[in-house]
Amino acid sequence: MGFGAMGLASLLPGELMAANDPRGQALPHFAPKAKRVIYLFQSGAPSQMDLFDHKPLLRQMHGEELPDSVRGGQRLTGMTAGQTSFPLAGSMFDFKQYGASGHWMSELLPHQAKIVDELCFVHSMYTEAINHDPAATFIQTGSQFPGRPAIGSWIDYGLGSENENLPAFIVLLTKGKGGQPLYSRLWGNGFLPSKHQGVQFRSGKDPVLYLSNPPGITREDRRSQLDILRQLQEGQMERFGDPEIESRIAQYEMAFRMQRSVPEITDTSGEPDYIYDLYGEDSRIPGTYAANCLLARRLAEKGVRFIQLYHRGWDHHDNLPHNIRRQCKETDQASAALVMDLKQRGMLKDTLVIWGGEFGRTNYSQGALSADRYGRDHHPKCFSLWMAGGGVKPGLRYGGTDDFSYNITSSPVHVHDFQATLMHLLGIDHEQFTFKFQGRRYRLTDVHGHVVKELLA
Amino acid sequence: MTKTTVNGLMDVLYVMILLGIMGCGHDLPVELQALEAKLPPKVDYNFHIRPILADRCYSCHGPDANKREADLRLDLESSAKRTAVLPKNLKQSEAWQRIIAKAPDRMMPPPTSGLVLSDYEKALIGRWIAQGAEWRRHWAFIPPTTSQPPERADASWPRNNPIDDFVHAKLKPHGLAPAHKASRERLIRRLSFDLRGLPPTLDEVDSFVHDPSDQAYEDLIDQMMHSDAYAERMTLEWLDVARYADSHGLHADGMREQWPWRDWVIRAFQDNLNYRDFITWQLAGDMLPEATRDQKLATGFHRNHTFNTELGIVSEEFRLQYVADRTNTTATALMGMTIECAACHDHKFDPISQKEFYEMSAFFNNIPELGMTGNDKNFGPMLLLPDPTTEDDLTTLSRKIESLEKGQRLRREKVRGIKDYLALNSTQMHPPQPDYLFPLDDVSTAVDSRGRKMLVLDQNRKSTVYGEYEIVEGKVGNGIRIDHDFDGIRLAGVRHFDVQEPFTAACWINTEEEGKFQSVIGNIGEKNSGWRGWMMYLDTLNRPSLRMVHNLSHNLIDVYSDTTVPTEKWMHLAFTYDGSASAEGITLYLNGNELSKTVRRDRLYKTIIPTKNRNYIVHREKPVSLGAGIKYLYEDTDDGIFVGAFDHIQLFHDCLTSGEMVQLLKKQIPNEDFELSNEMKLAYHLKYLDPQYGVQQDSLLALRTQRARLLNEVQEAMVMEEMSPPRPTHVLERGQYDALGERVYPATPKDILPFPDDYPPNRLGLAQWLFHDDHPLTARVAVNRYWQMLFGRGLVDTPHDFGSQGSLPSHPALLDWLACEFEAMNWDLRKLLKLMLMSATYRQESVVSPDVYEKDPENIFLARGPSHRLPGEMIRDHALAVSGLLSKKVGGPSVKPYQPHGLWEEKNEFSGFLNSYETDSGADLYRRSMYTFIRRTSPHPAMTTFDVPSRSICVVKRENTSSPLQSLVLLNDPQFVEAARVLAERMQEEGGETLSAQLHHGFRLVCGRAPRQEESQLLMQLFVEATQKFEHTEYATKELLAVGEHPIDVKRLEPKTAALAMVANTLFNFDEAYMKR
Repeated sequence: MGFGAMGLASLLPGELMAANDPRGQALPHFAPKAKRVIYLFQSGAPSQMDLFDHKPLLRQMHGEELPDSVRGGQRLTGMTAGQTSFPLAGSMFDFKQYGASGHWMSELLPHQAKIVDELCFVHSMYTEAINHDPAATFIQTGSQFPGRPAIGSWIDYGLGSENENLPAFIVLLTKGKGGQPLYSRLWGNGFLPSKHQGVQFRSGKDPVLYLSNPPGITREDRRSQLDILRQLQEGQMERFGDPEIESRIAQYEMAFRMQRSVPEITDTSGEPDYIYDLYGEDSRIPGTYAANCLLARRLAEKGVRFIQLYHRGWDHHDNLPHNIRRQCKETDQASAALVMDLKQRGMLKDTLVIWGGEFGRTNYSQGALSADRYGRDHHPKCFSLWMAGGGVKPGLRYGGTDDFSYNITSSPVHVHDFQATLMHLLGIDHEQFTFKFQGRRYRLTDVHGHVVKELLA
Repeated sequence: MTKTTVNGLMDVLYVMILLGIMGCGHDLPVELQALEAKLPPKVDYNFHIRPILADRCYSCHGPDANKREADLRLDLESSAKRTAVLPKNLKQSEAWQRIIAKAPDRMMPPPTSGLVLSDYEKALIGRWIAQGAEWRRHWAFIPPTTSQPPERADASWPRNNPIDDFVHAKLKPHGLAPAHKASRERLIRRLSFDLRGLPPTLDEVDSFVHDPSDQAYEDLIDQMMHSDAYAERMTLEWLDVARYADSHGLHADGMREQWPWRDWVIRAFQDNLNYRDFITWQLAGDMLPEATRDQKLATGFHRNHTFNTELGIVSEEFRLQYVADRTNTTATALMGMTIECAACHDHKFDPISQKEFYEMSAFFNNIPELGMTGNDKNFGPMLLLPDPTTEDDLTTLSRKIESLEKGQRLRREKVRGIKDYLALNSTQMHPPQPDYLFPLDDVSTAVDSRGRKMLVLDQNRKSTVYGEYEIVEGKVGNGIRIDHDFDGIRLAGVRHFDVQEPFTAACWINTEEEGKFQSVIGNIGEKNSGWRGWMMYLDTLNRPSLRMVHNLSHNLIDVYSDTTVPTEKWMHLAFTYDGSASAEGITLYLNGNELSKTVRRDRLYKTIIPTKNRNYIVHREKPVSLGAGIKYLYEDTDDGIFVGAFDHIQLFHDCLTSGEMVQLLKKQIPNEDFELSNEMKLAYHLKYLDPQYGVQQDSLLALRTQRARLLNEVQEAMVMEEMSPPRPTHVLERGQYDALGERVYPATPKDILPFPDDYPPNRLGLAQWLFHDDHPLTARVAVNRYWQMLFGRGLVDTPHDFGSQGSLPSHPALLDWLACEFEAMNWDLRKLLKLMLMSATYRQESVVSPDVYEKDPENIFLARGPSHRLPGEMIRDHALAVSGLLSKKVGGPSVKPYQPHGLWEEKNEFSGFLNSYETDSGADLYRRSMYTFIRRTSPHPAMTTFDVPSRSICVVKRENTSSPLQSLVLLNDPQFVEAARVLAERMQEEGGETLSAQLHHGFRLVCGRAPRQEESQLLMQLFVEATQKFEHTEYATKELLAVGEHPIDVKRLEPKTAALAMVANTLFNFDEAYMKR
């Protein structure tokens, strides 16, 4: 050790301790079950009792007032808090049991119904936030307020990439969908280094922003330009001795490789017809949810660590029956196809697929209730999501709600528990995986969260 | 206050290291004994021990009372020395025994915590206890003291001011020596980016190179500091701290117009406002005596936080979030303290209790503001910002209006004296004719144009009933009863009256409800119109009330009477308004009797014509509604639904006199007896029979109309103001908005500096406290941030955290000397920066040898000049500047340069203004990047790629990363491609006749120096290859040169320009284009 370095160590212990290795422990902490995650985020909060959480009693009591004993003085959103009446609204949709596991599924989801034995349902999810912005931010970053890294950023930071030509954290948004807003903070790096932010892949000319060469410039032109640039940079390196220049040179090469590798992967035209048939007709149209599911599979094949999809439009305060039908048509087949496609490729076992929104919806109608029309307000006290592959128990139905789908009656799973479990599947102990920022060690699960062991295969 | 110096001690320490004095170990486990030789001879609590204890031990044995184990505090000497740490007695020190214990149930930190102490750290603690376990206050809480700069370390080293002495004193023991002086070209470039955020012009470079005197350098600094570009550059640095943005940041993330505040910051730097005033104005400018407009505007600083606009939230939860944001930002930005953890529990590492957090927040909890705002636009408190002409016109108008109002009062008294009016009797007084009458007698069914069933009211135009209703016996014929959330009555065809127009509304109501707000009649809109319009309502005590609103919660009149309306009884409710834009001009009536009136708010100065709920487009056809619930108009969860019946609505574009009100009622209930008072007669006489009064009235209306028109157009910014009486502040248990704990009052953390008794307990007092002579943090934090701006790294590398978890200063004595100098120079920022810039340290070459790099890769000890990647804004501004595209316009609304299509559209369509990104054109495409519109949930992607923050929270230190995505921006972003093309034109226009001269010119423009021979050759090679290509592909030439809106000279539409554009594009990707070196 040189004298200078020793002097540094003895004088600046604070400096050295601030180093942000996750407590010096190599990740993963233990053998992972899942190597990668595909998170199909259904933004706006799908109605659990119209899709997965079958409640015949609600239909019997359709139009009757929500009993006070069920509500128990719970906080309502400012949208229905002023409502003087809370008429129960049973789902208009038929439910049947499917598969060996006998899951009840809504007629809205014929494709997911066929694969229930692959899915692991959690019916007892609950959250702390009651409005979209805080709730979406909460489930995606572990905090209701802006400033924290997204799950994908944590995973990117902790586990890195398996493919040097692609980002480890990729984000896909359904094109042309309205609904509750999305915020770039949902895939933001928060206080982690910015290279861990999600990189959005988009349909169209530039699958990654600024990826394409300017008009008139070919790949060959770019190659010769970069060769000259490299020589200029090498000269600079000789003079300044700054290793930063070397890493820049490497990054220009990586950018050049991305210009080829990204369009190759986003161009799905080489997929066989039976794959398009599996994902549905929409999958031929770039930017649709179905096309994004297909793309997610292709990215997973290339070793991308965390693939985050967003599909908006689930916020059905009004005319839910009409709107949810459309949403399901857009998402049902491709969600199921993704699971089965991964399975047929032998990838489901180490790919975790997650389907779900930010909270649930009320069993009572927002706005006037009529025979074929009802709306549902936000409900944080219970909601459903499913996971598949990557070390979760297939065909499991976990947790339960009361006959009103209002309160959880067994095995509650908090958002932080869900996050802890997700990390566990990736071989990470959520309590040990921290990042020190502004004098505090942060983790995705704040100071909470328990791994839900019962979900693990 | 003790004024011990940390610095002196540190220096002693170095000497001791040099002398190699080593302590000897006692009672040490074997593995620690081996480390003995590596330990510092004298272990210092602040610099060695506290960081370890704070990081590994405080979470259970620190300031947080709720998480404390074994009743042991290692942050307090008295607690620790009871049993845990016994000076010079390792054997008996329980803490030591636990630290070296091997058994999992004994060991500290416990294995379950995940925290570990390294052997080196254990050995340090051991030696510290052995040496007597001396405790000291945390270094940053001891006020800085001036110390003599150290003796010159080496007489041969270039030295210009005491900064160099401090720096050199540290170089020597590390075996380092200063680098050579940077070349003149390098120096002016570095200086220009640091002071102006722009490259120097070639003329500036040339004249600086030709005058090698020190004076020339000093003159250059002065000259640059007096430019607008300097003010812009300094402003950009502050905007990160101030979390300035052009959108609200949460949910709809709609637009706000806070740029007048940003322009004030620019002015402050143009005027070199001293740092004390700069901060004081921003924290409390409104509370200064005779506060000027700029002083008030400055307080916009603490309105820059995000707003939540999502319908359904609990308003109070978010209002308290804003209060917490101000508290946290103040601490981070001005005190270098991270205190937000104390919002939920006592701080685990620094001596800030939860109570102290809320005491601090009490300074900022007294602003009349909303928790949930509308999706777009500013919300109060606000400040009007008329231009000088308008301001003069408004003053003149107001003077004329006041004088006419006075004239009317005089006229009234004169007429009263003449007594003609006494002769009036009721038969001479005509009952007023309503402009609109809605009898509410009948509801019929009809079908609308889209075939939907509708309920038509009184067969009358487009007036409708919706939801469920009941026809009941009314006061005049039938009435209509509604009782439900989704029920209401809409009265169509009413022309809305504005703030300057007289108006009267009268109706019969029969309410069945009490204890809740109830909307009676009005046209008021929802939150996304700022709740604009008027509404007569009953408050929770059933008292008749009226609101006339331009924008909640700032620009409105709100009055109520003290009389309660009984339930289950028909009552006649009315108000009149005289167009005076004041509460005084409102009269409330119940059954024809004038009611007493109490004013809740009396500040209305802009239009109250309702708008569409989204985009603020005037909605003239909006019906007047009866009994409609309006969300968040009254309280979070009380929409104000009316339960009961209405009858016989009359509206007048006229301010009825009290006598007319009586006449009106008489007609409807002929049996009742009304007395006509003399005051009623006087008012009637003045209104109808006194020509002079009438002329005055006409003139008033004309003048008020003029004033309203002017005011409606005046720009406003969001500022702070105080509420009276003050809002109480409570500790929030676990940080939860609805878990109110103990009530607290404004105060500051005692361990930093107690709040003096004689300071006012408000924001102004807080500002005074920050600049108290004994404040240990303010000056240190400020000089550290500006040092960071120039040198790329603060003397404390955690500028946001000077607490026990932060980094220790690399040059404590220098930090304190600078802090004291800054105070001594009366907080003059230009002087401070100049002091740093004049140092030989700043002027060193940044070239580094492998040997020096190995010793100090991060350049902590400053044996070379600063070097780091430029901020994203400067990289873009540089390309614009050297191509000649850059617009020099200073200030004004934010602009929208090129951005990839669809980024806003795919995320959000809730805003009425920001759903699609509409690229600007012309000069606004080429403004400095600090003016680029910042939409927080979707900021400009090229800037984000270069670590520009999204401005949701206060940031005092940007990341400085490099990534392949940055390469893609510089290579392919149309902004850079266009700039390269325009630069290619410039190279040909200015560069001279020969190609090599043109290439040479281009290189100089981009890099600020002449190319070396091999560089010229490489560029020539690139040019030749590119020319060959473009000569064979005409379309490629055309396509490349067509990028960007800036027109191209047709004679330049040729392969050569395209090839030069490739050269320019390459130069923008070359190290010296984006690195400060």
